[in-house]
Amino acid sequence: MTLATATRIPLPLDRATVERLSVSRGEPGWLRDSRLAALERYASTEWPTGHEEEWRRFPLRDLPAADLARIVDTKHPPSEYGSVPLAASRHGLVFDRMLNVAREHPDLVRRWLPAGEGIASHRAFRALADASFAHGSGFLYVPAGLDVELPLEVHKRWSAGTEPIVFRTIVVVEANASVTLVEELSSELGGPRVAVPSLEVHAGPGARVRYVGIHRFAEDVWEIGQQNFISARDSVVASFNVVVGSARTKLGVRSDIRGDGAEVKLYGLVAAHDRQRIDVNTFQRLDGKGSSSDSLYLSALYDEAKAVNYGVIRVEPTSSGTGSYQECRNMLLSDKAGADPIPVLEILTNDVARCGHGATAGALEEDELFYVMSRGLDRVEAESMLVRGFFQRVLSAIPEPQVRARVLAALAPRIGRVAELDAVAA
Amino acid sequence: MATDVRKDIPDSYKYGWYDADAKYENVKRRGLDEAVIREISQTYKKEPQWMFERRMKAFRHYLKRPMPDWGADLSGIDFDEIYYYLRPSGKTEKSWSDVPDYVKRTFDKLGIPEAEQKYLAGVGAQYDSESVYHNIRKDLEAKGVIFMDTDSALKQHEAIVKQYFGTVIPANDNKLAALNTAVWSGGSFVWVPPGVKVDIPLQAYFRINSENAGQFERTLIIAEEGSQVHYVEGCTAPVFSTATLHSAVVEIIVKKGARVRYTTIQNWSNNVYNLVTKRAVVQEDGVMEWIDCNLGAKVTMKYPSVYLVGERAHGEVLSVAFAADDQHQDAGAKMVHAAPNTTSIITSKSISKGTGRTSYRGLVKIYPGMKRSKSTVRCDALILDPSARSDTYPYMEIDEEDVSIGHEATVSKVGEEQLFYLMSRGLAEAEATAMVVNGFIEPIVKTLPMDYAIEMNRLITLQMQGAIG
Repeated sequence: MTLATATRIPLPLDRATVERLSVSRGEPGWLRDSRLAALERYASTEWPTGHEEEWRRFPLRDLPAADLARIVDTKHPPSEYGSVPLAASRHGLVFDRMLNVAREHPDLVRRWLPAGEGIASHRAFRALADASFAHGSGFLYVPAGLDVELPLEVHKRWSAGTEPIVFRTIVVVEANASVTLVEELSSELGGPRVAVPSLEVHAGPGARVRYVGIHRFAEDVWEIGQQNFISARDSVVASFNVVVGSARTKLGVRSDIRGDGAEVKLYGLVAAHDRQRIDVNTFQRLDGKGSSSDSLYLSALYDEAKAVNYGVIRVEPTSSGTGSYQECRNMLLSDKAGADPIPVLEILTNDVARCGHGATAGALEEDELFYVMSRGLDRVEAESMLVRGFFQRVLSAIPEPQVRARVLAALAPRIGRVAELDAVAA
Repeated sequence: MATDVRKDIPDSYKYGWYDADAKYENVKRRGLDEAVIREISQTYKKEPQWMFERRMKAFRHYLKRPMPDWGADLSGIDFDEIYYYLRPSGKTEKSWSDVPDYVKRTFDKLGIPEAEQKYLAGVGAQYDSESVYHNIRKDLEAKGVIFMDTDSALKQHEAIVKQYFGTVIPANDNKLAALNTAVWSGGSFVWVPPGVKVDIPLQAYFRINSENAGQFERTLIIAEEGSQVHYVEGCTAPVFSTATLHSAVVEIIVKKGARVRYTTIQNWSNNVYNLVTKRAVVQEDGVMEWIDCNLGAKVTMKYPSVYLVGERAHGEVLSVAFAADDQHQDAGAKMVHAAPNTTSIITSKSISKGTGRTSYRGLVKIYPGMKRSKSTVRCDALILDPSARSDTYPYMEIDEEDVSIGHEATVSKVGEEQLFYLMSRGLAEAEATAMVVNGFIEPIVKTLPMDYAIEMNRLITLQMQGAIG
C-alpha cells in the first residue's frame, strides 16, 4: 500500500531524508518523532486525484518535479523579523524561528505542534509539511491577556534555487490576548520550484487575531499552501491573503468555529497577470451559538490570468443563530482572463440568523473608466485607480496604515502605484 | 372537478393509488439486455432500422458510462428489477372515449379531460411506457402544428425526427441519457411551423402505474423561426414500496426569433428516482424558458440547460424545489453562453422540511469571445425544520472579460415574527407556515397557467400537511 502510493506521489519523501533533516537541525527527539509520525500519514494519504471539487481545476500533473531530499541543504532564508516589542516579550510573548522556540520553550511547541484538521482533500500536503518543514518555519505565542499593539512583521525571502520550500507557521493566541501578524513570502527567480507553506492559527477564548499573508513568490514557483484557523468562543479572527506571485497558487483555507459567539472574517486579494493561476479553496465551518463567519475575495485578473475560488460554508446541525456570507468578486481586465467563482452552501439546520453568498465576474465599467479619464488620467492610470477602488473594501479592513502600505506595495507590480489614494484610505 | 375521487384517498399524496386492472400487452420482464431493446424497437414499435441502431449504440454507451456519483444517493436503484417497457393494450387514441376504461379512470382522477374541456390547445397522456392519448385543437392542426407522441411522430414524420433526434442530447451525454436513448418510449413531439404562435399551452401528463416500472419518455420540441409555444407537463405515480425510475430526455430546438416555454409540475410519489436530462439549444434572438417545479420523487436530479448558440439568445430557468421527509431534490440549471450578447437568468427557490434536503446545483459557462454576455443567478432557500438541509453548488466558469455575471443566494427560516403575525390573525401554525411558503414561491407560481398555479399551491399545502400531521 505504502509502496504503491509512494510510486504515485510526485513529491516522494523517505525516512532517511526526514531523519537527516531533523539531525542536521539538531532537533530534540520528540520533534523528530513527530516528523516521522507525519511521514507515516504522508505515505498513507492519497494525493488529490483531480476528482475532488477542490482539485478539479488545478491539475497536479504539471507540478515541477522536486527532490525533497535537497531540502536538507537549503540555506536559511534571510527572514527579517521586525522588532519584537521589548515590553511584550517581558510579558511572555514568543516570536521566533520554530527551531529556537522548540529549544527554548519545548513545552509550548510540543503542545501546539500537532496539525489541525484543515481541508480534507489538502491533507497530503499538510502531512508533507508536518514531516519535512524546514527553514522559514516560525512560532508565535501570545500569552493570555496580552495585547500586542504593534503588528509583528516577518519577511521570508528565499534566494534563487530549486530546492523545495516547506515550512510551518504556528500562531497561538491565548485567552483575551490580541495580535497582528504579517507574513510576507518571496523568492528570487531561478528555476522551477515547489513551495508548501502551512499555517495554523489558534485563537483562544476572547482572543483577537489578525493574520496578513502576502504571497509573492517568483513566477517559477508552484505554491501549494494550506491554512487552518481554529476559533474558541468569543474570539475574533481576521485573515488576509494577498496573492500576487507564483506561477500557480493553490491555497486551502479552513476556518473552524468551535465555540459560541466567535467571529471569523476571511479576506483575499488576488492580483494576477500573464498566465498565473490562483486557485483558492475556503472551508468555513460554523458551530455554536451566534457565531459568524464571512469571506470576501476580490480578484483583479490581467492578461491570461485565471482565478478559481471554490469555497464552502458549512453550518452544522448543532449550531444556532449563526451568520455567514461568502462573497467573491472578479474583475476581468483582459479578454483572455478568466474566473471560476464557486461558492457552496451546506446548511444542516434551519436555525440560522443569516446565510448567503454572492459571486460576480465582469469587466471594468466603461462609464466609470470614462468618468475617471475625463478627470485627466490616461487609460492605464484610470484602470489602476478603479482596481485600487475595487480592492478598497478589503484594504479598509486592515486598520494599521503601515500594514496597508505593505499590502499596496506588494500589489503595485500588478495594479500600479496609486499613491494619492493611500492618503484617502488612511 | 375530480376532487371527490381524491377525498377517498387517506394518504397525503393524492395520486398514491394504482390501477390493479391495468392490462399490459407485452410479457412483463425485468432487467435490460439487447433482447429487450430488440423487442421494444422491432417487435412492438416496428421502428426503422436507424432508430434500432441508435438504441443499440446507446445501450453500449450506457453500459460503459459510470453512474453519477457527485449528487444525490442513487444506491437505491436496482436496475435489474426494473421493467423497461410496459405497454398498455391499445394504440394511441385521439378521442377520449376510445381510451381503455382503466386508463380513463386513472386520468379522470388526475383531471385530464377537465383540462381539455378548458379548451387547452392540446393534451397528451402517457401511461407507463406508452402514450395513450394525444389530441390537439383543430385550428392549430390546421396551421400545421404537430403535437403527438414521439412514437407516432417517428412513423408519420420520420424525416423531422431523424433530423433532430439526439442532436441536443447525444446518447453518450451521460449514463441516464444513454439509457433513455436505448429504451425510450412515448413522450411528446412538438413541431411549430415558422411564424405560428400557439397562444395556449400544450399539455402532457405522465403517469407510472406499475411497481418497478421505469418510464423513459422522449420529448422533442422544435420551434421554427419566429414561432412560439408553451408546453406543460405533469407527472404522478402510485406509492409502491420499491423504487421506480423515471429517466426522461427532453430536447428542444429554438430557432431564430422563436420562443419556447416548458413548464413541469413534477409530483411523482416518494419512491420514484427522477433522473432527467433536459436541454434546449437557442439560436439567435430566440428565447427559452424552463419552469421547473419539483415537489415529488424520492430523489430528483434535474438541471434544465440552455445552450445559447445564437447572438442575443436568452435563456431562463425558474426552479422550485420542495423536499419533505426523506426526499432529496437535487435540482438546478445550466446556462452555456456560446454566442456574444447572450443573456440568462436563473431563479431558484427551494424549501426543505422535516428530514428533506434540497440542493441547488447550477453552472453558468461563458466561452472566450462571448462578449457582452450577461447572467444573473439568484437562489433562495427556506429551511423549515432543524433536521432539514439545504445546499447551494453554483458553478461558474467565466472565460471572457466583457461580461456581467452575478450570483446571489440566501438561506433563511420562516421568521418568528411572520408566524406570530399570521397566527394572531387566527391561522393555525401549519396554515401560517404554508402561507409563508406559498408567498416565498409566489414569483414563480405566478408564471404558471392559472389552473397549474392553483394546483401548485394545493400541492405545497399538501406537502406541508404531510409532514405536520
